[in-house]
Amino acid sequence: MALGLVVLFLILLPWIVDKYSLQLIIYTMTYIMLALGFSLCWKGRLIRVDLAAYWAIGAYATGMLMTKAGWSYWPTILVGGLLAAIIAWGVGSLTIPRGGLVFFTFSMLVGLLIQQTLAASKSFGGWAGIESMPPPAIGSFVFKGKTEYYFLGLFLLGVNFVTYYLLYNSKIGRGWTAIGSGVGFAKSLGINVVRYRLSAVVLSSFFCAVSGSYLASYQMYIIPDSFGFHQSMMIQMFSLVGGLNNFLAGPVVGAAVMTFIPEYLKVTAEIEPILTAVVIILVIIFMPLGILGVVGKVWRSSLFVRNR
Amino acid sequence: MSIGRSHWKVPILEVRKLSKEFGGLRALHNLEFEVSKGEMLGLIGPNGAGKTTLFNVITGFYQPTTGKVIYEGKGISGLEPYEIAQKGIVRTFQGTILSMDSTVFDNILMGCHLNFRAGVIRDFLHTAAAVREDREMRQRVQEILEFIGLDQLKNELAGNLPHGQQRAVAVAMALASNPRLLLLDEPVTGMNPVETATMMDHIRNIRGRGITIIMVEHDMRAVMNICQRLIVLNYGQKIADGLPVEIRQNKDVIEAYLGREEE
Repeated sequence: MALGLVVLFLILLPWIVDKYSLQLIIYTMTYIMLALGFSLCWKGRLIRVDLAAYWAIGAYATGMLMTKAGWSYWPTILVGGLLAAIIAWGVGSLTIPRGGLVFFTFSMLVGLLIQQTLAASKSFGGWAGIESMPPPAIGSFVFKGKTEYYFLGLFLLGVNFVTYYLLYNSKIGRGWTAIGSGVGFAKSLGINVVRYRLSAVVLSSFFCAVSGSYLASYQMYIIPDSFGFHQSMMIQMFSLVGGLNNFLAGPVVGAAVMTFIPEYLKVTAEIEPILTAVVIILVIIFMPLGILGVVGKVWRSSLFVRNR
Repeated sequence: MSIGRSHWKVPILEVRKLSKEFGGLRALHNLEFEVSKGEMLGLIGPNGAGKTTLFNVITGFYQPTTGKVIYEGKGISGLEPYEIAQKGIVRTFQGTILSMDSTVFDNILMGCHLNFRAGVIRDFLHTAAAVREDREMRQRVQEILEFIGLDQLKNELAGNLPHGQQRAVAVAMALASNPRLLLLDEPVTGMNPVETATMMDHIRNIRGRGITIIMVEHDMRAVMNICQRLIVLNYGQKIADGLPVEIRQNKDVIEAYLGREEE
């Protein structure tokens, strides 16, 4: 029932809100996919600051294959995702057995490396990036309006969300939860911590690249500046603001709040990194479990009062 | 009839000339003992005697400097902790480690991890076999909840339980993983006398299921009551091995615990 209402609301949404808000919603959806990836890795107690680079891999795969090779949009989503997954698997297999700190440091370096390589190489368009990508199409139906893109985004995000939901409620999800309680503890339950962490990293990279393909097709241009360290911190901020212990709802709430509020406050691009840093600092100190953590606490204490 | 061979006890665990050094510090020295199938062995000794280190070596968290650990006739030194757990040696930790944000039920289900046969993909796709297995596991969790007497608390968050019950959940989780050898690290430390008595009952019942148990514990009375055999460690060496009555009168043990008289 509740689920049906949510789905109905999501389907009707483009006719409820104005075009400007719809654009913000489209960006929010790409951010949710990224933040879901951050939270997934956090579930296995890995902190990643390279997600924007895997976002770029998806965006550039779509951009390059569509403009240079003349591919249609749809297979580029999969190619970008698989490419990101392979790179993440390589980096992950080298670093995860060496522990969380090595992984963290490498993720910073790999993020930098990927972004700077894309920016420095002429064949990827340099700092000017790639432009004039054709819109996706199914037969003669061309995705040109925001409403069409909204539904494309909703579909991709839906696939991502449902995949994670099913995983969190299965054996592998319980394995990640055990790792969250303690690496040694998880091992004592017979969990191959390295393999479980690696699968989290590979999977989140895949869906970040899918989000990148979506962003590229919506904007029809990409520049390397959109995929830097600041963006990786932004992704982390979404997860933190929503609530680190809410692995599905947290990213949704965090990305929505942190996309809409700065937009209505007219925060300019120059101030954005400052805002990101300040928000992360404040949340960690004053609200470590994020918005949903606070909501949960209030809810539980009100139940307690009622029960007395 | 062969000459008494039939009543020779079958060892489940053999520790052979085991030493563990950290830098220059000798945590375990030339340790040698066996544990028979179905036995309940108490491991005692003053602080820093090497009891937890021994657990860590047996379960693969530390590699021995020299010597080896043999489990069911096969050497297990050098294996990863999760591989050793998969072979049926399961441990609990000194501190209570649970997923505090999960319910008691979900925690114990986490302990069932080793028993799931369906692969990750099949489990994810919820194939018929995986669903059936999931249902079996949930029944198993329910059975363990009743066995340990946690049934009424199964939907409670682990973080909301008092200390004694959290420890009981930890033991239930270990039990859920279907161990053949269970290593309990200080299962009753920090518990009040009632909680201790309950836990000791649980441990006795677990042994009744045919599971071999090695237990590290400071609570002397508890250990003396429940274990048939005790090994005493001091400075990483075995100083005594025998029945509780023998240990109680052993001069070396009394010295290790109380200090030499002239000191």
